[in-house]
Amino acid sequence: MMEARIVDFRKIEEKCNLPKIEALQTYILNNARPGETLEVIVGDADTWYAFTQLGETLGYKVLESRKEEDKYTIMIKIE
Amino acid sequence: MTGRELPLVEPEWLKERLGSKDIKVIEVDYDPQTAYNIGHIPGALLIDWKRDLNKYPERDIVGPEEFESLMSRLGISNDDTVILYGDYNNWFAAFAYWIFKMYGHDNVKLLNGGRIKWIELGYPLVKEVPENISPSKYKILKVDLTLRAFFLDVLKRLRDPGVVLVDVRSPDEFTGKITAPPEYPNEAAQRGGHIPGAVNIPWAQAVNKDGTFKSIEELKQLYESKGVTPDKEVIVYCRIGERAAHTFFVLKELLGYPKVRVYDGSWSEWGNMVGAPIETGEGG
Repeated sequence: MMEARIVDFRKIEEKCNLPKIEALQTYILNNARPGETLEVIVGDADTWYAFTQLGETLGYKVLESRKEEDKYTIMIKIE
Repeated sequence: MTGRELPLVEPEWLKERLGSKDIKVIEVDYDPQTAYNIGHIPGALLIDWKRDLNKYPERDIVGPEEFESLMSRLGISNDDTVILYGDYNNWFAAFAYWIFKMYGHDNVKLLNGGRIKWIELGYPLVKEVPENISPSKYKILKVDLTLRAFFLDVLKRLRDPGVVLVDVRSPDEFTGKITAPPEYPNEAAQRGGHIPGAVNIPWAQAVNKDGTFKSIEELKQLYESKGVTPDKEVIVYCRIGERAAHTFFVLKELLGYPKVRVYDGSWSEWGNMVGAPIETGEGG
């Protein structure tokens, strides 16, 4: 099992579902190190799709993505 | 059921009609870079909410001439059936819907669940932008300004028992604990709270987890239990108007309330307006 820090965006969704992509970008800039693996969790399909497509723009590689019962998980590696 | 034909289409319905010349599908995005540009419904056109539906520096929605130009550029004719959907839970698609109705385009519908539901179902997305669009000669034939409320319209109706104000923001914004969602500090108002007498029914209470609308019965129960009944004039507001447009759609189009208006100046106007009365706390 890969060691990864978990970043759960579902709390943001409860307050306001607008800025998850900006939030991920900010999180990466402020907290993540190159080479680090993050397990990103979101609650809706639109955000999941965006996260899987925006790796090049936001500076990460998608290692894996999967849908579970009530959440989507994307494993990303910061470049 | 209501017996009325609702201006709402299901993803399955649209998927079966993709490519039909009778239907114009438009994605309305707050942020096309993270939505339309990375994948949209095949054949869908784009309305960029900030660029296409707002006027700067006036801070106003587009006027009739700009709307005609937009429709003409997109090749939309007056009698086209338009299906709107978009990012962020269809908020901005609902805002566009409200503008379409205000400018008299009656044959407009929302795609239930917007991008969220379409993607969840695994339905197709493409990056190709429709080409060779023949511009139309769109002409607005009627304008319905009764769907919009301005600051003074709201001020004059404060405490009017025949009018109910619905604040669709989050409870923390309503009570004044915060002046804007924490992720948008630059959109904060000078003051926190809500318009006196308003009831707080956050927009999200009207939708399921997959972004689709709750049943008509559930919606009726939700609003009527808070005193938002069809015999009253309803004015909805939020921070900049997009969440309010979502609730406008629920009340006016799904529940059939006769008098519903969007106060699109919303809290970003009221909360900054000198002398405008406010309440804090839970109100009521």
